[in-house]
Order: sequence, then structure tokens, then C-alpha cells
Amino acid sequence: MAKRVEQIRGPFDPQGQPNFESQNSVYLGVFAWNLAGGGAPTIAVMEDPERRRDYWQWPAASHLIKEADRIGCEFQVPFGRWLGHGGITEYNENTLDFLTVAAGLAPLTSNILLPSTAHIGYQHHPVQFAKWGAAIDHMSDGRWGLNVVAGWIRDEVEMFGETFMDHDLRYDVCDEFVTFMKHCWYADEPFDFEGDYFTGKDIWVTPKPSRKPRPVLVNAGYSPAGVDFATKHCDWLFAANPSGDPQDLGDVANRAKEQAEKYNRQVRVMSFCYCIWEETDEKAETLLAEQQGMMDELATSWHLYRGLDQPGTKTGASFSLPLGGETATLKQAVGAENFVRYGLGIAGRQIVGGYDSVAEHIRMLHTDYGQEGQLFCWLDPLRGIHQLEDHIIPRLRKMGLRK
Amino acid sequence: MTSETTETHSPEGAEQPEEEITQTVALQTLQPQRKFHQKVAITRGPFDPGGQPDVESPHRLLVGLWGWNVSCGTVASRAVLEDRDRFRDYWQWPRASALVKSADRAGFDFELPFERRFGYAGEIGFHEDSLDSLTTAPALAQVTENLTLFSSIHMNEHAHPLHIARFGGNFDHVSNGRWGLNIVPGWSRRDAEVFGLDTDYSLRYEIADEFVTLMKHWWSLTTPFEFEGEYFKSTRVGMVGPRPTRQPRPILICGDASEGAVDFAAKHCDWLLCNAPEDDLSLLAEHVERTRVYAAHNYGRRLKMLVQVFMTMAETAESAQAEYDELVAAIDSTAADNIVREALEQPGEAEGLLDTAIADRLGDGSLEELVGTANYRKLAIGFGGIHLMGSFDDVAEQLRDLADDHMQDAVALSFLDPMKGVHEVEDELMPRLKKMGLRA
Repeated sequence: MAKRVEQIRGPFDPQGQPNFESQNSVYLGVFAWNLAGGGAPTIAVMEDPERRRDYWQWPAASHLIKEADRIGCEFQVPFGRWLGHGGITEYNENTLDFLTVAAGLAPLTSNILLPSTAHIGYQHHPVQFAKWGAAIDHMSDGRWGLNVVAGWIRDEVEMFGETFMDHDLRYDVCDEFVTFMKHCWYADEPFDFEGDYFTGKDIWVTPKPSRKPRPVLVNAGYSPAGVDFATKHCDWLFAANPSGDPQDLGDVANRAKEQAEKYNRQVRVMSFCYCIWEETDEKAETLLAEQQGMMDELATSWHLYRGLDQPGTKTGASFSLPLGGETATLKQAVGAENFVRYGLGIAGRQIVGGYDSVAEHIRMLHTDYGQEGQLFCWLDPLRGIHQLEDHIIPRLRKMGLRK
Repeated sequence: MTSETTETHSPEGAEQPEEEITQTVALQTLQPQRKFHQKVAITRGPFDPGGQPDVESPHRLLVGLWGWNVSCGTVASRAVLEDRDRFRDYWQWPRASALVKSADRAGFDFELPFERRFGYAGEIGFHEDSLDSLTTAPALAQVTENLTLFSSIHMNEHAHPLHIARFGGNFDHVSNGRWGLNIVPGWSRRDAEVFGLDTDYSLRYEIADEFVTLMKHWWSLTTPFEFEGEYFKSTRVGMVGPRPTRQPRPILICGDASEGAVDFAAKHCDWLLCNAPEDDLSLLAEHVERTRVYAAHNYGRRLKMLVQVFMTMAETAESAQAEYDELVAAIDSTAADNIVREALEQPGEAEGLLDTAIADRLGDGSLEELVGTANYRKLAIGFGGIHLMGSFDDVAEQLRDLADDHMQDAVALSFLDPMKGVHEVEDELMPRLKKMGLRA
């Protein structure tokens, strides 16, 4: 009989946290590149569906991340999706899954981190993830990571025959899940696990992950429960910016830092951004207005509706806007300005401007608001990567933020 | 293969949601839309929307590489310690990916991995390390061009059909239609216990039946649906793509020779992995004939037959024999006993090699005496596969016998030294098989 492990909740890093060091002060990455339409529910994608919507298809998608790897991006973070949001653009109706992208990219790339984004609440088991992750980490020479998502869409949860749990309780499941997974990676002999949500007997996972002591864990928690989970278990936090106020990003960074200290840990914060970059501020602003004027309203409404449709309390989340009367449109209920801001870029920050302003914007988020990295998504991601290489990285270099 | 129309399995009365023309979206229209999907009527097989995948091949005998993703492969002999990199640890990625790439270039038609949750111990640490068979498929897709990449899934482990259906659709997308699934109903209690499960083994083929039916709905339907089975329930199965590239779906295979397995394979799969008693291969042809008739008569379906093989070949029959004798003399009895014990302790019906009457006498002396030396060796070396041995000419003849006399369509090969094995298949066997008309 294997020995039952005692600890079933975090913080749990008996061998410390993994190092993920780059020579650069500001880390860069690509976000939401693995699904149809990425973070852009705008009819502007239909003007060039191949480049603006269907880049998730493997030949284009693998080329995109190979390019990101070549130009020195530290991260790519795929999006997790089990249901699309429809609309005229068939927004997010196709999505490469979290195993395929990480394992498939491993042989094609050299340095870039390959986290999977997965909703661990969807009928998954920690032993599965420990084994899958260790295998991808082995095949990529220590470049796998996990972006832990609790699950926030009722329709997706119900797809697996599960009940949509109260928000904070979902993070309790995550806590136990990740503790269990870490046991699989750390254990040097078979063990039993008996938790509130997961059990297992005589568990033995090899190979162990290549990165020591374990793969990099990230989380995009924004609520207090989410940030608490991230600071207990993860190494990075990806921050949304639904209000559009950079001070909120600074607050998340401070909160994460303070709370991590309580757990005797370190958590670094980066934000994800929807980007429109052009030669001049004016041109970028014009394009933003165009895209906002062409919102795929059904897709955006579905997306926001699903985000708002939460049982129980969602403590402190600024997403929790009151819904209007039955005849109101979702756009009216959340306000037209919020509608386009949440819609374009999945409630992330928006970086819109000429190349000089964009570089300055990234510097500001780094220096003034504690954002150690940026994850970008664009209407046309391949062009975005090209702009990053040709216009943004050189400017960041001059500022001393990139080597 | 005639292709059925998709109407035959569309959820009854399901209609596409009306295209929203207006850009004004009332809140109340969002909620009711949840319910537009309909329940699918079919929850059990036989079920082949669009027909079976066309698995016609120019080759009369398909050749695959088996067991490359676990330590020691199929060889529970201390011989693997003589050159650990080549004989034991080739599951490690740099070597494993080179191996499968070589097999692809050599003309192998498929690779078939193990799926493992634990090892069998012994001095050699048999199967103590393994790459999982799901993540290796999309990774290998990037370094190979032609061969079919199988994953294996155990039904008694924690697995959900929607996960596997979705991964499979993606793996097939990134490999350009080269993915397949080996469905193992599950034969080790320990596999289930790892996930805190206590599966009722008498139900495992029923569970597998429902599991695969739900996967086939996911792969073929284009509107959301509701699935209400006994083991899997979903109020809204969404339709996030991509769908599989191979049409109408990826190849499915199932192993072992019990009645339950044959019925399941006949209902749902495209290949059957046959177990064969070593001493009487004539039973194999009978089994194949019976199974083919059964599948055709009961379900109107076709099955290809696949056997697993352990191969020892050399320039001369004498040196092959000498190599084989060395393997046998060095059998790691701890690991081998564990393999045999597990085979004897299979829950439920008696299956495959061994008689239940033998299982009752477990503990009455040495396991080798109990099951007989031939059975013991077959499990220790080759993990139950057929042993082929001899000169290159001999082995080519033996393969011809498997194809002609024993009606096999495919062989999954394992070796002590798989890289050498792949080289020998490319250099020695493929030309001979071509002359015999078994390979195009």
C-alpha cells in the first residue's frame, strides 16, 4: 500500500519555484493565436478571413509561433475554448486544443515557453495532467507550462455533465487539483491521495518534468479568490484590464506581490493586450474606431453574456455589471463603451497607437504599474509579429528594456 | 464503402439557429438559444455516420512499429541492460522521435504505442518510464510524413469521450489526417485505482460502446446536440472545431480476443488486434474467419486484422536463435512474474492466453510451471505477441504465412533493439516482402 500524502491544499512548493529567467526586463508573448478570430469579434476579420480569422489552422499557426520563437518572444499563451460564440464571424468556433498546441509546437520551436491553457474543472483528473505535462515538458526540454483556468462558462461546464459551481469554490477545486498534480511531479515513490474532489491510489508518474523542480504555472485570476490561488500556486499572473485604467493593473501587481509574500512565494505579473499598431497615433485611432464600429454584436453579446452569467458571488470582479431589463440589449446593459472595450481583446488592456507611443505604453506599464511582460493579440497576428520585430522590439531595446 | 447521408443521425428536429441578420441583440434572445439543440437518439453502436474510413492500402500487409514509448519495450530480459540507450531507454524523446522518423522513412505504415500508469519492476524496471500516447501523437506529426499515429486510451481510466474526441480531431488536423485511436477496454485494476475509480468490469464494453458513439457524434455533427447515455450525459455538446481531417473519421482499433472485445470491435472499430496462442496458429485463421463473418453478418461492417509480433532476425537462422536464447536465458523473473500475474488476475471473464482454472491455482509454485514455459516466455518476451525468428528469408516467409495462411492484414513489430529492427525492415524485409507481392 502506498503512503497517503498529507497535504491536499497549497501553498505547496517544497522544492521551491522554478526559475524562468530571461535576459530582458520586459517579457513578450503572443496571446489567443489558436482560435478563430482570436480576441477580435469584429466584422473587420471578414475582409481577409485567412489572415484575420483562420490563422488558427495549423500551417499558419505553427508558422506564427515559429516566428515568435525566432524573434525572441519568451511566451505564447493559447486560449482555452470548448464553445464558440457564433455570430457573423463565427467567432471562436474553431480552436486548437491545449495538448495539441503544446506538444505540436515542441519539435518546431527552440526557446519559447509552451504553456497549455486548460479548464481543469472540465472532468479532468490531476494525474492525467501531471502525465501529459511531464511528457510535453520532456519532449520540449523543459518548456511546458500550465495556465490554470477554473472554468467560467456555464454552457461549457454543463457540456461535461457537471454543475456550475460557485466562483470561489471553483478555485478551491483548482487548489486541490494543482496540489495533487505537484505531488505527482515531486514524489519519489508511489503515493495515495485522498482529497475532497480527487482521489487516487498507488500513483507513480514518470518521466519527471525536465524543468526543476516543476513546470511553470500561470493563472489569469482577477478576483480576490483568483489572485489568492495564483499567489499560492503559480509563478506568473496574467492580468486583465476591464476598466481600462492602468492603475487597476498596478493594484493587481501590488496585491499579488503582497499576498505571495505571505505565502513566502514570488509571483510575477504580466498583462494581455489587444493591439492596433500603426505608423502614427492617428492612423491607429482611426482603425480602432473602424473596428469598434464593425463589432460582431451577436458574438460579442454571447461572449459577454457568458461571462456575466455566474452563479453565486464573484467577489470583487469588476465584470459584474447589472443586467438591464428583458428588452434591453446586452450592449445597452453594459454600456456601449464597455461593450467594445470588453469585446476587443477579451477584457484585456488595449494598446493602440503609433510605434513610438506603443513602446512608451509598454515601458509605462512595466515601470509604473509593475507589468513585467506583455502578451499581445492583434487583428492580423502575423503582421503583429512582424511589427513587433521591426518596430517595437528595436524601440524597447533603445529604452534598455530588451537586450 | 457506401456513405450514409448525415441526415440519418442528425438530432431529430434539430435546426440551425436562425441567422441573426440584425445587429441588435436583445438580452432575452440569448437565454432561450441555449435550448435549441436536440437530443441524439443513438447512444450505442453499430454507428458509422458517413461509413467506415476507407482503409484500402496498396499493401497486402501493413507494417507498424509497436511499443517504442516505454522503457524495455516488450522485452522483460536483463539483455536490455547491455546497452541501455538502445535497448531500454529509447522512449526518451530525442531517440524516440528519431526512431519513429526512421520508421516513417523506411515505409512503416503506423506506430502503435503503449499507455502505461505503472511499471512491472524487476532489475530492468520494465515499463517504469513511458511517454503518454496522447501527447506523442501531435509531436510526432511534426517530424513524420506518412505513417498513421495511434494513441491508446484505457476505458477503465479517467477519460471523457469529449476530451478524446476533441484531442483526436486536433491531432488529425495537425497530422493531416494521420491519427487513429486504440481503444483498450481496460484490463488492470491498478489503472482504475490510480484515478480513484472502481470500475465494474462486466460493464466495460458497454461503457466503451457509449464512449465511442458519443465521439462519433462529435466528429460528424455540425450542430450542437444533447447526449443522454447511461454513463455519459451532456446537456449541450458544443461544436468547437476542428473536425478530423480524415473522412469520415479517424481509424479505430481494439484489442484482445474475448467475446466482448470482438463484439465491440465488430460494432465500432476498423481494425481488430488479435491475440493468438503460440502453439497453434491455426486457431488464428479460424478466429479471423469467425470474426469477419460475425461483423459482416451482425453489423454489416468490415474489420482488418492485426497481430503483435516480437521479431528476432539476423543473417543466419543460427545467429538469430543464439540471440533469442540469450534473451530467454536472461529473463528478469521479477518483471516477468508481475506481467504473468497481472494477466492471470484480469478481472471478469477469462481472456486471451490463459485459462481461469490456472488462475485459481495462483500461488501453488512457480508461475512459469503454472502457466507453462511457452506461455511464460511469450509474456516475458514480446508481451504476448507472436514470436518470429530466423534469417531474413525465414522471417519474410513467416510474415507471408501470417498474411496468407492466417489472414492477417497488418503486423505491429517490436524488437530488442528497435532502431536496428527498423533498419533491418528497411534494408532486408521490405525488398523481400515486395518480391512476394505483400508490399507494393
